[in-house]
Amino acid sequence: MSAVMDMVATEEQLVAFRLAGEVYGVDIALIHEIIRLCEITQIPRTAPEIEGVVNLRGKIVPIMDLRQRLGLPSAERNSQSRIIVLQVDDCTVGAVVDSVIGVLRISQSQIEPPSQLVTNLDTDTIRGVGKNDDQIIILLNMHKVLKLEA
Amino acid sequence: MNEDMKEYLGVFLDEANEQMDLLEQDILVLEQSPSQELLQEIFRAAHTLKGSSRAMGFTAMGELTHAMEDVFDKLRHEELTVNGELINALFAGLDALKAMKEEIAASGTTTYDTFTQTARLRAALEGQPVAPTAEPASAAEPAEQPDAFQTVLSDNQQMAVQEAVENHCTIYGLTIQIASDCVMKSVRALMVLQALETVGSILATTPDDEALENENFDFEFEVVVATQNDVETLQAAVNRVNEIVEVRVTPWQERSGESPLPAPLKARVAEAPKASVEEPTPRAKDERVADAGPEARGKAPEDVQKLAADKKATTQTQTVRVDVSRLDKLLNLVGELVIDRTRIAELGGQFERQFGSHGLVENLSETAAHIGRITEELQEEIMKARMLPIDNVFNRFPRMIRDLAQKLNKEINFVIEGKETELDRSVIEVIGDPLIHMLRNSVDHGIETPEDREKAGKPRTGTVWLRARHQENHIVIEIADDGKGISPEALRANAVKKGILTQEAAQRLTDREAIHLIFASGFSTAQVVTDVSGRGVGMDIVRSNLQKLGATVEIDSQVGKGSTFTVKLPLTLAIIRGLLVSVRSCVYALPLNTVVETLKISEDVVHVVNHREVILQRGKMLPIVRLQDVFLLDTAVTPAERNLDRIRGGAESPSAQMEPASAEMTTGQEAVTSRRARSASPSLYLVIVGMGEQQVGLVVDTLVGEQEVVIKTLGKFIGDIRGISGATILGDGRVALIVDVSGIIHIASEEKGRAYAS
Repeated sequence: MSAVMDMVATEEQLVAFRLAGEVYGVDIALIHEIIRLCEITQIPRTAPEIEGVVNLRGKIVPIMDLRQRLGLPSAERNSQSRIIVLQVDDCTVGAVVDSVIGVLRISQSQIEPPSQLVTNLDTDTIRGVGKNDDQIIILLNMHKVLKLEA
Repeated sequence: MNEDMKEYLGVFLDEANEQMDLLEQDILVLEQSPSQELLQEIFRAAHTLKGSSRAMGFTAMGELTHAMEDVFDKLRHEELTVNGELINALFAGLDALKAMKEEIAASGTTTYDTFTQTARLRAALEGQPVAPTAEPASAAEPAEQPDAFQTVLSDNQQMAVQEAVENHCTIYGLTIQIASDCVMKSVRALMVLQALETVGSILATTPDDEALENENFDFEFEVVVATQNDVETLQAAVNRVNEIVEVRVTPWQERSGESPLPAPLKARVAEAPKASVEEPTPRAKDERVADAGPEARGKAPEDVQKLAADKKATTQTQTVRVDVSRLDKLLNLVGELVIDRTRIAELGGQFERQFGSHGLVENLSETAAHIGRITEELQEEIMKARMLPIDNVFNRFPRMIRDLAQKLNKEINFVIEGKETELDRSVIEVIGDPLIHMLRNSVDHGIETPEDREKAGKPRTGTVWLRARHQENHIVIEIADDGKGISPEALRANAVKKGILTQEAAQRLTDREAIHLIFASGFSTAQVVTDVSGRGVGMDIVRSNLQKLGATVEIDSQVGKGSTFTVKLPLTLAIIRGLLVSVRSCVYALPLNTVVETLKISEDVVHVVNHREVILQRGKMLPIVRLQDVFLLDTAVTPAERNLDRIRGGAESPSAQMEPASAEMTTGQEAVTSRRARSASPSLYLVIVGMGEQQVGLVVDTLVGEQEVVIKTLGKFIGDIRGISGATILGDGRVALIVDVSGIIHIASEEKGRAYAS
């Protein structure tokens, strides 16, 4: 009985996506929607990780180049690419990813705190690494990724 | 605070805001010209505030307001007279209330210590000799009650009181004091209440049940009891409880001195103090009672008046409170409609071109035109709904000026004209700070001290005017003073001293230009930077902030006579007419009110002077800026490189042009010119934009068209970008960036080499 309670209480739901060959996960509560790639209007004189903005049904949503931000090499985009629109605090931001896998559930027990050896990202932006069977899911700390004050 | 309270918090804050604004304005007037009517209004505001803060559980706030209410009460009964210290004490109290309100708005509670303010008010209350007044025997007159009851009955409780009275009970107020060495105050209080329940029924207590349980009281508490027994029985019941030191039992009287016993209503209304609602005819008084309706029965006359006044108010003004965010959403939707309307018009045109005047096409065009008209009207109405009188901004100022004048020992008469002038809320939100800064400047640096003014043969009291009016498509706000004016000489000297200008350049400036030096960065002519206006936010920031809004500011000044600052604002910041241009496949919108003219030029008329590109326009030099450079859309090419390209006859095929050029160099200008023409010197589109007296030519690839554009911010994530003031969505769904012309001018002047601040 208590085991069931434990599982329910300490489970996380994530939206998993692929980026540069790895699988990443973001807390589902932060996801506003997922859209197909559309025209991104460049904004001049901004930080390199700000790719531009898109028109989301009349709302101007900034798009972050997640590869740039995480220090990953840039690559071509294809029909699998998607924009994940996040709502973190009162900030709506989109990020381009290679493809979206879906919703995953993992329990707290399957999450390991970040270690320097796992990836070459600054450990600031990742809050842990989840293991789902053989799959490694890099859990992003979106507050840090978006450089918002927590 | 429990959940119910949280719901009411928003309402409480809104109302508190209203009451506090009213109090501030009225106390100010009170200082100058007290009147009975004014005092009634003030008293009512304080009373309402007291009631609602208590209802929300903010006891400290309630107590402070209570003290203020007492002051107003005495004032309206002429037991106190208005003097400087009293007003200052009232303002101090009001400021504390405001601070508490802010705390509550932020975190839901307040821990503000109101001891000093309350004490100050109480002192002001006692310190004055009480003017003896013949008190009429009417129950409507409040009696002097030095140890009057604190309990205020809610509507329900008052009804309970009425019922009890109708059932032949007497209402008593008991003040019970517990021994100071008692450890279990809450237990004793509970026992007292239980004891009283055996001989009567408890209607109310102060503090309330919760507070008694949590021992949130010193050693005294009040109970209002309805009973058919007599005083001795009540006292005996309470005295049976241990550790009770004293029980005072008196017939119950409401704080304002009205007994709850029913009396002919009309008589009371006639004797009660005049309501703040205007009553031109005696008929109106009776009407009031009638208007108040059945709910008025059994209530204290004050409440009757309030009910009547409220009813009157609702039938008269018929307004609705609308959340600002709702208006914003409406405006957003209208904005989308505007975009689509343009689109439909475009499509209609395309249809016509393709299918000629087919019946269906005509129908479509007609309907599109109709939609267009309706959309325009809808837009106008929504814009109007967003308009607020500028008084919303102005009303803070009289108090600010008064305090400032006091601080600086200056005598100032502050005149406001045109406060009904309406502006869109987007402008109202941002216009406050620049105005405050300019007003402070006038008071601090403009108006002289009374002694200096006398020496100059001026009246001791200086005047500062704040005027607002509509002018065509703009709002004009003037801040004028009859102070010492701005000296062009002093500014010139200062500019030279600060290294902003050379001596010769300074001399070359006209007086008018010299006065405008005040807007240059790094400027402050004040000998001593007072903490009032020299706080590091100079006039340059004020101006650039205003320019960001699309506003201009100009100065007119005469030494010895005074100065006038004139600010011209657009009516709204939400929608602008824009000139769409394209630069390297990106579309930009230039605010049409900054566009002076557009023209097509060819590359060869562009010269490079002192590292800046300029053209000769009507005999004057006009600096030009290539938007693709500013926005780093291309690898930026320096003017020198461009010049070189041109001499070589175009970047496209330098080698092909080289030989003919060298061969024909000697044959004269004509040949050179024709050679250039042959190499198809690219032509450029130039849009000349201006901000006030500065103009610059913007080089773009093509002109797309003119359109009304709904301004959308880029959002927090992207933040501020110099040269861009926002974005908009075009008819085809693309995003266009809106250019901030003043920002561009700044960028251009920085990057292309140092020129003097102009």
